[in-house]
Amino acid sequence: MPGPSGSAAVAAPAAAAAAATPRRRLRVRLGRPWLALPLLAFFLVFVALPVLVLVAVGISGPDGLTLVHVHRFLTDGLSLPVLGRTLMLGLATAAVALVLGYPLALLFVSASPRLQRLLILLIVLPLLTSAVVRTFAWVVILGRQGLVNETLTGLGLVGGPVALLYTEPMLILTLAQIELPLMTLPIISALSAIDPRLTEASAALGAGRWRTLLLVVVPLSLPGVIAGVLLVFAAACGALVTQSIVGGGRLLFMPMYIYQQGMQGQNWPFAATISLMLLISVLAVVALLNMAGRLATRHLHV
Amino acid sequence: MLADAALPSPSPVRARSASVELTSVSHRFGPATVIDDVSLAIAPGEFIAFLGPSGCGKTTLLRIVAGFITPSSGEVRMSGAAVGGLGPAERGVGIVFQNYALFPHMTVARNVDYGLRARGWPRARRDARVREMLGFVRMSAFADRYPRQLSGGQQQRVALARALAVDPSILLLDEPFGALDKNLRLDMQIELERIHRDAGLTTIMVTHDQEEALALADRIAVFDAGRLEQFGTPQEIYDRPATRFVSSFVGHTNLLPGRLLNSRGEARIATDAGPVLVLPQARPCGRPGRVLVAIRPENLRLATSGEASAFAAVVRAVMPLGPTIAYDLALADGTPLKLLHMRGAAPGATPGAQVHLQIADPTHCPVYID
Ligand SMILES: Nc1ncnc2c1ncn2[C@@H]1O[C@H](COP(=O)(O)OP(=O)(O)O)[C@@H](O)[C@H]1O
Ligand SMILES: [Mg+2]
Repeated sequence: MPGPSGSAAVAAPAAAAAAATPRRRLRVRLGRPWLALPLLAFFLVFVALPVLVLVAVGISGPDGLTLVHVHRFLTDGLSLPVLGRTLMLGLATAAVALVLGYPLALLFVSASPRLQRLLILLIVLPLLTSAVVRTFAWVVILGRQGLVNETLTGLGLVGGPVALLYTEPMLILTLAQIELPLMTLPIISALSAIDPRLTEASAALGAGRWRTLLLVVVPLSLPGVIAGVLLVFAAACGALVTQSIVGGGRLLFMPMYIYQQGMQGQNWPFAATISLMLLISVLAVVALLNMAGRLATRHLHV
Repeated sequence: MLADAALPSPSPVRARSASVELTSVSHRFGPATVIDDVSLAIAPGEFIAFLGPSGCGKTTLLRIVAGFITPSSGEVRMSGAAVGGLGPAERGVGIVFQNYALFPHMTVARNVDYGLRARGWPRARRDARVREMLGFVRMSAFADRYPRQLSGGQQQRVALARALAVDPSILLLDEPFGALDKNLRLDMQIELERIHRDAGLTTIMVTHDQEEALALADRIAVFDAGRLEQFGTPQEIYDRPATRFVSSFVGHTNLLPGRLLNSRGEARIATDAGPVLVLPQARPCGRPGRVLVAIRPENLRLATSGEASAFAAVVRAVMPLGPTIAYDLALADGTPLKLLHMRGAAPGATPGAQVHLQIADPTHCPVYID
C-alpha cells in the first residue's frame, strides 16, 4: 500500500487501526510522507501559526470579535490604493525583470562553458550580497550627486541634477535588478531542459532564428518564465527596505504601511488586517498567474 | 499491426533526389579525431546505411552531411555543388532525429505544418499538404493528438511526415528504429522501405544494427573509429568483407590464425590449430606470412562419412535457434569454432562427439594480414 493511503489508516477509527497487521503499521510509520514531518513542523510554527495570530489580532476588538478593521481597510480611501499600488509595483517589477532576465538567460544557455562560469557568477552575485547593500548601491547611482547625474551634468546634457531617486520608475528598475536572479535562474533551468534537437529540427525545416525562438524556445520555456514572474512579483511586493529607501517617503507601499500602523501607530489590530490583506492579494495574484501559466503549458504535461 | 492495409497511396514526395559526394572529410572535437578522411559518393535515389559500432562517428558524419557541423577539413557536395556554409534547410535535407524531436507543444498536424509555415506556403495549400502527408504515413486519425499521446512508432511516422512534407532532396535518419521494440521495428522497416521505394528519395540511415543495414540499404558504408572501412552492396559487405573489422562486425565469423605459405596459384594456409586449408585464392591479403582466415559459421558444414575432412573438431554445445542450429566446436588445440546449419539439413551431432568439417564455399573465405 502506498504511503498516502497508508497514512489514512492512522486517522481511521481505533477498531480499524487494531485490525491492521503489524507489518502494515510499520510500513505506515516508514512511509515517505513522514519524511516531510520536519518541514510540516516548520510550516506550522513559522507560517500557519503567525497567520492564525494575524487573523486573531485582526478581528479582535475591545468587545470580542469585530470586522471594524476590515471595514476600515476597505473604506478609508487610503488603504486600497496603497494595496493597488503595491500589486502594480510587483507586476511592473516582474515585467521589467522578465525583459532583462530572458535575454540574459538566452545568452547564458548559448554561451561556451567557460563564459557560462563567468556569467553564472554575475547572475547569482546579487544573491550573495544583502538587499540593503544593493539598495544603497542604487542610491549612490541614482542620487542627486550620484553616478548618473554627475555623468549627465558633466557631459552638459542637463542643466542640473535630475530627480531619479524617489521616483516610481527608478524604484521598479532597482527592484528588477535586485530580484533579477529570481527571474533568470528558473528561466535558465527551463531553457537548459529544452532538447537542442528541437531547435535543430526547427532550423532543418526552414525556420530562421527568430521563428525558432518564438515558436519553439519561448513556449517551451514558459514554465520557467511563470516561476520567475511569481518569485519576482512576490519578492517585489514585500521588499520593505528597497521600497522605503529608493522609493522614499512619498511613495507608500504595503510593507511600510504595515510598519507605520504597527510600530509607529501602535494600532496592532489594523496592522494585522493590512498584513492579511496583502497576503491574500499576493496569493490571489500568484494563483491567477499560476493558473494562466498552466493553461498555456498544459500540453507540456500530458 | 497496421490496421488499414490500404492500397498504397501514390507517393506525395516529389523528390528532386540529390547525389552526395564527400571528399576527404575529417572532423575533430578538440584533440579527438572523430571522422578520419572519409570519401564516398552516393547516387541520386540510393538508400545508404552508415553502419558501425556506437561511438564510431556515424551521427557526426550525418550531421556534417546535414549541415549542422562544418567539418574540420574536406568537402561536401550535393548534386555537384559545394554546400559548405549552407544550413540544413538550404541543403534540402529532411531529418528524422534519433528521438524524433517532435515539438511537444504542437499537435501532430501542427508539427507536420511547421516547415510549410516556415516556407510561407498559403493556408489552403498547407492544409492540403498536411492531410496528404498524414495519409501517406497512415496517421490521419491522430492529427489533433499531441506527441506525448503517441506510441514510439506513431511518433516516428509523424517525424517522417514532417521531414518529407517540405520535399527534401535527401532524407537523413539517425538510428530510426533504435527506440522501437522488435515487432514494431520490422513494421517500421517495411514502412520505410515502402516510402523509399515509392518516393525514390536519396536516403542515408545511421544504424549500429547490421541486420537492419543489410535488409534495407542499397549500399552500406561500414565505419570503425571514424574511418570508412568498406562501402559496398550488402552482398559485397557480407561475402567479401574488405577488412578484418568488417568481417567480424557484419555477421558472425570464425577467425583462424595461420601462415599463408605461397603467393601464387591455390592458396595454402597452415592454421595454428593444425589443418592446412586450401583456398582458390587468398584475398584481400595474398602476401605469404602470418594471416587470419575468416570463415562464416554458415560456411562450415558437418562432413558426411567417407568425405574428405578439412577439420576435425569436438562438439561442445548444440543450440537450436529455430530454423537453424548452432554448434559450438573446439579444434584439436582448443581453438573455438562456430558452425551454423539449417535444421535437418545435415546429420545431427551431440555434445562430446567427434565431427569432421568441410568449408562449404572456399571462395568466400577472406584472408587478412594478421
Ligand atoms: N559535440 C561533441 N563534442 C565532443 N565530442 C563529441 C561530440 N559529439 C560526439 N563526440 C564524440 O565523437 C565520437 C563519435 O560520436 P558519434 O558521431 O555520436 O558516434 P555514433 O553516432 O557512431 O555513436 C564519440 O566518441 C563522441 O563522444
Ligand atoms: Mg549516434
